[in-house]
Amino acid sequence: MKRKFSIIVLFLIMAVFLAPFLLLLFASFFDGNPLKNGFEDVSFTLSQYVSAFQDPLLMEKFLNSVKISLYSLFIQMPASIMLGYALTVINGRWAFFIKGTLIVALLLPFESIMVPVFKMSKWAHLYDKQISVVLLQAFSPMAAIFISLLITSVDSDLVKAASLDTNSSFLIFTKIILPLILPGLSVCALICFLESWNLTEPALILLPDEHLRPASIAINDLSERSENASIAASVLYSLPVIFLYLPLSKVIIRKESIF
Amino acid sequence: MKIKTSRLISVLSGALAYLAFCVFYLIPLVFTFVYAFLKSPFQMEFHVFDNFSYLIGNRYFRLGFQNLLVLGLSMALLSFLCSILIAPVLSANPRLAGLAIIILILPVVIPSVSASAVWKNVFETRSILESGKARLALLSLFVWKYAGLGSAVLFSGLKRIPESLTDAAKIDGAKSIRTYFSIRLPAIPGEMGAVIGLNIVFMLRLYKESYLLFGAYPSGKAYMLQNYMNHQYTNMSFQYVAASAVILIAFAVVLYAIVYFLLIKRRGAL
Repeated sequence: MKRKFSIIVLFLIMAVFLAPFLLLLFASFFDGNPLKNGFEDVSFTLSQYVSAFQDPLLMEKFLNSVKISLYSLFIQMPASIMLGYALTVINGRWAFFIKGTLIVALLLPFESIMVPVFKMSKWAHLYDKQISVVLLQAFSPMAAIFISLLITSVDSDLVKAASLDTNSSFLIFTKIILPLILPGLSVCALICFLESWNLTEPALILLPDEHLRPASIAINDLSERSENASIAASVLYSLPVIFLYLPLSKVIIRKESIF
Repeated sequence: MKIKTSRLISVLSGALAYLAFCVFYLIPLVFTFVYAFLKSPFQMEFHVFDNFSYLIGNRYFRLGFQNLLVLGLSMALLSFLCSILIAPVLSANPRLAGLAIIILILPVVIPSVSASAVWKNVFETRSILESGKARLALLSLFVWKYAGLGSAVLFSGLKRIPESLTDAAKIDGAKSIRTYFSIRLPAIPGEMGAVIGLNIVFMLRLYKESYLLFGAYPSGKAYMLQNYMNHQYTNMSFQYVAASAVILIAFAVVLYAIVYFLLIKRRGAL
């Protein structure tokens, strides 16, 4: 009886967490904004998806999001791997200091560095250019901390055994450590991509030109003009991350992972 | 010699990445503190506490800070409480826990602009909203987004507790609720500290959700310090943005220190 009750409660909890997204998805197939006005007197239609795809401005913003996310990911992953590995090679006070600075930067909001970042981008002629946002995301501290934790979780006996066979750190890293941390790296890449895909404040500050801004801001502005199109655009914007998340979710919930 | 060269190359490549991080994050953080004590970031004239005394006298700053204390801490605590209540349900159903965690983490994955589209329409946040409803919209969105992640972290901690602890409590006649709050939760102070810490991080980054729900000007009780800072930025009063940032950083440091000393440090003692 108690077990059945806990199963029912668990399913209710899952339903509560799924409900908003399912509601958004369901509402995107009806006209008349059913999220605000209810589902009476609405009719099934795909016109809002058609208008979203046919809106050149919206597609431009989607492309901006893809560009910013992918460019920052391509820089962030190698840079963070290099820094994460270096943190495991360095011992003692320096590693502690560097990790401390990374954690401090991670824990504070963007508002803490908003003004100097704006001034720096102006000085470097990067203001109102997407590269400023790409570089800011690319050197975010989160991935380096995550990767250094992944590398330290590798059995040190394996690394010691490999170092008997070769002097090359590069070979030890690529042949021993990298294959073991690959699932964790893919989760890290997903989190980095999510961070860039969800970008709002840096884009508001560093990209005054509407044409350069990502869809994470543009969809919000679209709701002022067309509520139905913004609902459809919101669903479209969440699909890439959900399609990336679902296959990687098995890695997240595996026994060896943090969960 | 070869080992040393190899290590040196590893360290140097990491140093380059760290240098880039310093340029984009650490050095700007230092300059925030410098600008907070300047008359303006365009004039190197130090007015040591003038900016801070202006802020303390400014009613919008006080409103934003008050709401950050009340609403922000309420959000973090409520999300933490929900995580505490969901974690044992996961623990009681290990076969379904995997699927449940995938669903519980989904709100974090869904972009804020998509999630806020639902809340914006259900609560009609873009109309003139009474303050209580605005707070409820922000609070419910925050809890929905982040409580699931917290419960997954707590669940991972609960899995590691030896069964002998709970069995001993059962023998003494303790019911499952009492066992959970008196034995199992106190046995995972590190995970609890991590969940509260995460909630504080997300609470400090709340401007994104607030902007997407209400635009640049939310109603009274949803107006937080981060909104004030962005308004001062729009007015190009950068010295006040920097001074507010220093106060926000001090507030964050105090919160993290409380969590660290109350919970995370205890993990070593256990």
